[in-house]
Amino acid sequence: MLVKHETGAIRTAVPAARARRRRRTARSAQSVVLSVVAFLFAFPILWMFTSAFKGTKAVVEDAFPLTWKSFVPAHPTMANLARLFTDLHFGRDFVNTLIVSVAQVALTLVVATLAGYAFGRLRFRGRDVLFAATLLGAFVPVEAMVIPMYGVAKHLGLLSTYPGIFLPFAFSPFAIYLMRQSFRSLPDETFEAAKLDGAGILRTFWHVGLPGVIPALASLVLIQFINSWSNFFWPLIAMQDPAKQVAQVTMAGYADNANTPLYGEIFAASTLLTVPLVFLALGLQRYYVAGMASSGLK
Amino acid sequence: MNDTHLPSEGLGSTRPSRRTVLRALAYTGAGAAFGTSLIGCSAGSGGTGAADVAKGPGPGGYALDLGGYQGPVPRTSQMTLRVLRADTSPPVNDWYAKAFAAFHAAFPNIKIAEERVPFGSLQQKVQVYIQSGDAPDIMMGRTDLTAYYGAGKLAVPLGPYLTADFVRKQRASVVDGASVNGDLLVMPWEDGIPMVVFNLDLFAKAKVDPPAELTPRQVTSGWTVDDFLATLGRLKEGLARSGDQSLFALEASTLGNGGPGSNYGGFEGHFIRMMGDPQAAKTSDEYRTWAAVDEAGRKASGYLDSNGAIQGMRNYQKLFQDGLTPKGAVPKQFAGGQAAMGWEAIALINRYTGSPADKLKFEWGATVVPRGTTFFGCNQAEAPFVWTGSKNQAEAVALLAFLCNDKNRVGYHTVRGSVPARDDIIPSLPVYAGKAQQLGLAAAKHFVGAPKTAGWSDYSTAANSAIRNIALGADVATTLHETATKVDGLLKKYR
Repeated sequence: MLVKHETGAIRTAVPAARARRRRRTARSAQSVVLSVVAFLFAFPILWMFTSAFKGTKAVVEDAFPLTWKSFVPAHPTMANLARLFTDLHFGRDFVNTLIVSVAQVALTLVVATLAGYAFGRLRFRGRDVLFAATLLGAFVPVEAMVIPMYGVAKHLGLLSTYPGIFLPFAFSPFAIYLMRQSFRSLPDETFEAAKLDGAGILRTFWHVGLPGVIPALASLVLIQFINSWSNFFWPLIAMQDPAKQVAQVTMAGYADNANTPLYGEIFAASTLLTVPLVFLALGLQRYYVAGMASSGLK
Repeated sequence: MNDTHLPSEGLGSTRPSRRTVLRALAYTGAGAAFGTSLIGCSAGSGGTGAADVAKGPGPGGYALDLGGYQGPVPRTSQMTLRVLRADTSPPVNDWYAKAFAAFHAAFPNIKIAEERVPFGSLQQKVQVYIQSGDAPDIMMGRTDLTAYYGAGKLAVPLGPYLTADFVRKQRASVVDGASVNGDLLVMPWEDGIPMVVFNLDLFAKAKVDPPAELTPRQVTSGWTVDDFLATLGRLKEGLARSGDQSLFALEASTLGNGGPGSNYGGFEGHFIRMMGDPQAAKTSDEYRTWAAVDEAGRKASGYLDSNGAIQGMRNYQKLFQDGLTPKGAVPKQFAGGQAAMGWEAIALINRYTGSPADKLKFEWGATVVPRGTTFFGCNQAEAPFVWTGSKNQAEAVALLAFLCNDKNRVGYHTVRGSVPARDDIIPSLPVYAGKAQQLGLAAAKHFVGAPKTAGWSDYSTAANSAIRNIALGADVATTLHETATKVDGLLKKYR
C-alpha cells in the first residue's frame, strides 16, 4: 500500500514519526518526573548516609545555612562507625534486633498461615465470627493496650526477655487476613482433587495450599520484618535489661552530657540499620507485588 | 559414743520426746519469724527482714559512706534495686556503673538492676510503670513534677531518712523545688541555671554594645526584658547591614528539643513567669501571672491568660515576628557562630570553658537572663525519687544518699558538667571558678522559681502547644484564653 501510494505513504509516515517523537518526549518527561520524585523520596536516606560520615559537630555546624557542606561531608570520617562498636555497644544491640525480628517473622508465618488456611479454606461453626474478632485487634493501637500488655508480659515472666518483645506481635490480624485472602484465591479444584485423593487437612495444607501462597508469604516476611525492625515503643516498655535492648531504642539514647543528641553516631547507626531492610526489599520485591495482588489487597 | 548415750537413756523423763522436739522447733520458728518481722518493721521498709549487717567503717557506722543517710541499716536479705534513668554520655554511664558496683561490693546482697531509656522517653516510661503498678524502686524524675508525685503519692518522703545537715547543705531553691508541703519528695540532684551568652565578634560586626559586665553582686540589676528585646532588635539591624543574611540575633532554643513550643519549663515559660510576682497579693494580676493556676491547682482561667501572661507572650512572639530567632529547631546556632546570643543552661557554658573540643572559636561573654517584674530563674532539673510501691525503700534511699556523698557528687558533676544542688562542693569543681559560672551561681541565689502544681504535666503540654501557635503568629490573647479553658478541663481530675 505504501509503495503504490508513495505520496500518501509519506503523508502517513510523517504523523507516525511525529507520534513516535511525541511518545519519546512523553517518555522522557515521564522519566524526568519519576526521577525527581524518586530523588525526593531517596533524598532523606541519602542525606542520612552522607551524614553518617560527619562528626556531630560538623553535622550541627553545617546544618544552617544550607551549603554543599550540609549534605556532603567536607572531612569524611569513620569515627562515628568506630564509636558505635566501641563505646556504644551497637553490635550487641544490632544482634538483639536481628534475633527479635527473625523470631517474630518466623512465628508470624506459622500462626498466620495456619490461621489463614483455617479461615480461608475450612468450614466450621463460628468461623466468620472468630475471623471478625481476629480483625478487631487490628483497630486498637498498641499504645492503648500497653498497660494490659505489660501486665500480661509480667505475669508470664516475659519482661526483659526476647520472647517478651516479639510474642505479642506474632499474632497479627493483618497477617492472618493477608493469608486468608491468599488461600481463598487458590482454585477450589486443586483442593477437591486432593480430597478425592484422600489427603487430610494437614497434607492438603502442606502440599496444595502452601505452595500456592509463596508470593504472599514473601510479602508477609517483608512486611513483618519491617514492622518488627522498626518497633520502638514496645521494646522501650518491655525490655529492662540494657544488654538485651534493641538498637532502635538504644540509638535514641545516644546523647552527650547536656542530652544533646549525638547526630553523627545516630546517622551512622540509622544507616547500618537500613542495610538489612534494603537487601530484604530488593530480594523480595518481585514477590511482594504478586503476593499483594493474589491476596486482593492491591 | 555409747557411754555418753546411756545415762540419758536412763533418764527417761529428761529425754526429749519427738513431740517436744517438734514443738521446740515450732516455737523457735515462730519466735524467729516474729523477731525478723520486728526488724523488718523497725526498718520501715517492708519486705522480708533480716539481721543488720555489722557496723561498717562509713560515717554513721554504715558499711559505706552513705552521705546524709540516717535510716535503718540496709538489710542483709537478698534483694534487687531497680533503677530507671535516662541514657546519657558514656562517661556518665560509666560513673553510674562504678558507683553501683561500689555499693554492691559493700552490700553484696543488694543487686542493682539499672535500666536506661532515651532522654525523651523517660517520663513516658515512668507513667507506664506507675500505671501498671510495677515501677522500679528508684526513678529519675524532675523537680518541676514534684507536686505531681506528691498528689499521686508516688514518691517516698525522704526527710526521715536524711540528716538535717545534709538537707541544709542543698541550695534552698532546689530543696524548695523538690518538696511539697515541707516533705522532700525528690532527692536534690542538680540545678538548672539559665544564662544568656553572647558572641562579642558578632556584636562588633553589628556595631552594637554588648550587655554590661556584671559582678556577682550586681546580678539583680542586670537588663530588663525590654532591654533584651531592644538589643536583639539592634543586633538584627546591624547584622543585616553587615550583609550576612544567615545570622540571627538569638539562637533557636537549645533548652529542650529546640523550636517554639518545645520547652515551656526551661525557656518559654520564663517570658510569662517573669511578668508575675509570687509576693504580690493573691488576687493580683502579678500573682496570677506567676502562679499560672489557682492556689488549689485546679483552674487556669484568669491565671494562664492574665494580663501579665499576655504581655509576656507578646514579648515572646516578637522574637519570631521580628525575625530575631528562627521559627524552627536549628541546633547549636550560638556555638556555630551563627547567632549573636543564646539562652543556655550553665551546663552548656561549662563545656565552652571546660572541654577543649567544645571551645568556642570566637570571643564571648555571659550575663544573667533578663528580668521582668521579677528576676525569674528556673527550678527545673533532673532529680530521682523512690517509688512508694518499693519494697526496699530504706535501701533505695541509702543508695541515693550514697550517690550524693561528697566524693560521688564531685565525680558526677565533673563528668556530667551540671550544676551541683549544693554550694559546698563547688570549690572542688574547677570549672565553676570561671567568671560566667560565678555570675550564674550568684544569680541562682536570687531567682524566683516556678510554682508547683499537681497538674504541671497537663498544663505544660497544653502550654507548649499554645506557645508554638503563638510563635507562628496566632493571636496571643485568644490563644491563651482558649488554652486556659482547655487546661481547666484537664485539671478536673485533680478535684
